[in-house]
Amino acid sequence: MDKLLSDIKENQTATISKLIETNNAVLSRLKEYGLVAGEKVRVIKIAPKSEVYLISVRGFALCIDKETTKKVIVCE
Amino acid sequence: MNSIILIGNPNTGKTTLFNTITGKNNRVGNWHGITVAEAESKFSLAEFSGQIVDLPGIYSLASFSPEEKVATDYLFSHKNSKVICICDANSLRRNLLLAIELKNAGFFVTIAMNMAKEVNIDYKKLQELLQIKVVPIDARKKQSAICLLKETILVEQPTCHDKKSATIEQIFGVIDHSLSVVNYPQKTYGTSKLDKFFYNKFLSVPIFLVIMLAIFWITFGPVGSFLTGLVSNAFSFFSDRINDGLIKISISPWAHSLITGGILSGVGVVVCFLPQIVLLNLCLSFLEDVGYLSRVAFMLDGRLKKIGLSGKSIMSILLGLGCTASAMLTIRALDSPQKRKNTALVLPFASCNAKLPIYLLICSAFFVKYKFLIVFGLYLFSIILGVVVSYVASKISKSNSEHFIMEMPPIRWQSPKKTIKNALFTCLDFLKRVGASIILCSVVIWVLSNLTFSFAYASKTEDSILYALSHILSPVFAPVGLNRPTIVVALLTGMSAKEMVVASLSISNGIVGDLNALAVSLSNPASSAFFSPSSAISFLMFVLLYSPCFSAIIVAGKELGKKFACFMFFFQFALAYSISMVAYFVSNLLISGRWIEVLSIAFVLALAMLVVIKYKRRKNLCKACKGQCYGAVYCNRK
Repeated sequence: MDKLLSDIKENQTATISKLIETNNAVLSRLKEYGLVAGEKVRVIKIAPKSEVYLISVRGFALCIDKETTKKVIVCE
Repeated sequence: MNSIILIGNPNTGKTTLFNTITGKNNRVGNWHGITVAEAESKFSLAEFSGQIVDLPGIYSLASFSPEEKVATDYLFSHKNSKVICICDANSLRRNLLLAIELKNAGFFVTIAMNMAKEVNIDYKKLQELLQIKVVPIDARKKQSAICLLKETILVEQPTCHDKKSATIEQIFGVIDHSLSVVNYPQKTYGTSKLDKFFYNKFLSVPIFLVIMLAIFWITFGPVGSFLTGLVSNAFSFFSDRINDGLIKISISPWAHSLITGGILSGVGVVVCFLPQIVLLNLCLSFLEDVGYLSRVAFMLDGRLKKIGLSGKSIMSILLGLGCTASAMLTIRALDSPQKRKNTALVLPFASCNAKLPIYLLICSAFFVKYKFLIVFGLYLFSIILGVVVSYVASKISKSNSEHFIMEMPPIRWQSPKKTIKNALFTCLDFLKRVGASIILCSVVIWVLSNLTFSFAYASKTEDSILYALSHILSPVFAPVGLNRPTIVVALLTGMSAKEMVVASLSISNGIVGDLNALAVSLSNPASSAFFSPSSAISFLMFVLLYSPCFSAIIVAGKELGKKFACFMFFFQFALAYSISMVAYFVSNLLISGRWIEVLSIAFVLALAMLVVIKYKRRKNLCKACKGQCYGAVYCNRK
């Protein structure tokens, strides 16, 4: 089922299915960090208050703010 | 000539390799964006020589932050150079993207596989699959650097010259395929045990505060004071020897006075604080190398966002405790121009370690018992002010870009060897600064305070050029209680480098490398640089807040425009002036025992603040819930 990355809870894994078209700089940055279709991501931790997501992708960890995680469509 | 460009993902060891090849010691750390501008250097290692460039780390050729633009612009304007792309063998699944992009863009690429020993795969096979030369290295070892240079310079590369275009998705496909052929271990990002504490909802902020307190305690507490005492004794021993030597060779009295009263006096008082400055820098760089700062940035981003900063600002601000000028350079790594400006405004409030001698000197003259507390209080006060300033600035200029994307480095312990090396280079760097600017400034101050306008030796202080000049300025500083000419001069020379404030106080008091004597003379009404307790407090406030040294302002001008730098300069001055005026007034009242006045003023101020807050809330009334949410920006009932 399709979900947004922001809906994934701590310690859950999901597979990226698509990135929503957004402004170019952010999109290309997400891609170069390895957030491309078919990639598995795991949410390690969500920071309290700010809701910055700490996710692991392609063997390293990345912090992404909540607004940007809403641009990533995943399926479980 | 051989020209080589070093490129790679952030935090893979580019600068380490650069230092190995050139024998330099540029800053490295466990955080992306340590290198923010290109560093060029000539090298000669074994039989190879040429020019090598270290570029800021990038993830791919599609760059978008200014420090990454430096890298790609440089690359595309030097297409004939040989490119070494450094990859960390532990994270090849991501690092290889850049190498393949470079190859597709038509560069002569060699992959330097850093930390190759940690991952056991067939690098020859990988080389065939990727069609890029792969050289396994250890960036810290000279031997592997030579091997790498040999492969890069001597061997004609099998790189293809025709450009190819492939999307990032396709390249990742190629990487995954090649890595699965060589049986690359599928690593997942592991969190260490410490991370449980650092990421804890309740513990993260207290842990941060405790760590900062511990750093302050080490630097300003018994350890730091003990070391400072040692250096002070050693220096006064040496200056006595020099003094004796000068008397023996009987040089002219003015030259003698220049050397002892000018240079030795100015340099001595600054050198005494070397241990404390080194301690502070060591602690900060340790936190950064371990990877703790990234964790703080992650946990605090929400809170910092509210005051117009980003989690990444915390890095620049903590670096600002070391040196404002070098911290000003790191604001490039921030994502939006607005955040960059806000962070630059807040930076001077993290008081740099050159101001440290001033606090310690004043405290040991007036507040011996509460030295540690007062210094900590000063730092705390400036942080609170910084928060207020940033909050106001973010309200005035509304920012909309809210992206926060940052890599989280794994926790990596620092080797003791690197710590020692780090300490040595901080010392060296500091002594270089002392050698160049402090000696020069000391001589200038000595000349001004000992010569008359006709360049004759002034017998009385009242005849000197300095006295005449500061006489004009001292009425300006009278409202803040700093109307003594020598103090005004000390503050003005502090603009060139903050270390000069103590140096200039010491020179104009004619004291050579003896901290205790200097401290005593500051509280002596007969001396030329006399402070009353209340003017000492006002002096501390002024020094804490007035504009950073010229080099920091110049950097700010380069990064954010001249207009902004000018604004920053005058803003800091005005703030320092008004705050220390208030401090002078209040402390005068307190010292003369007029508590009632102080309390009533505080009461009136608190009342005014309440009224303002109330008024603001009413203004922000939200329509969805008819104001029951008390003006919260995001009302739940919407």
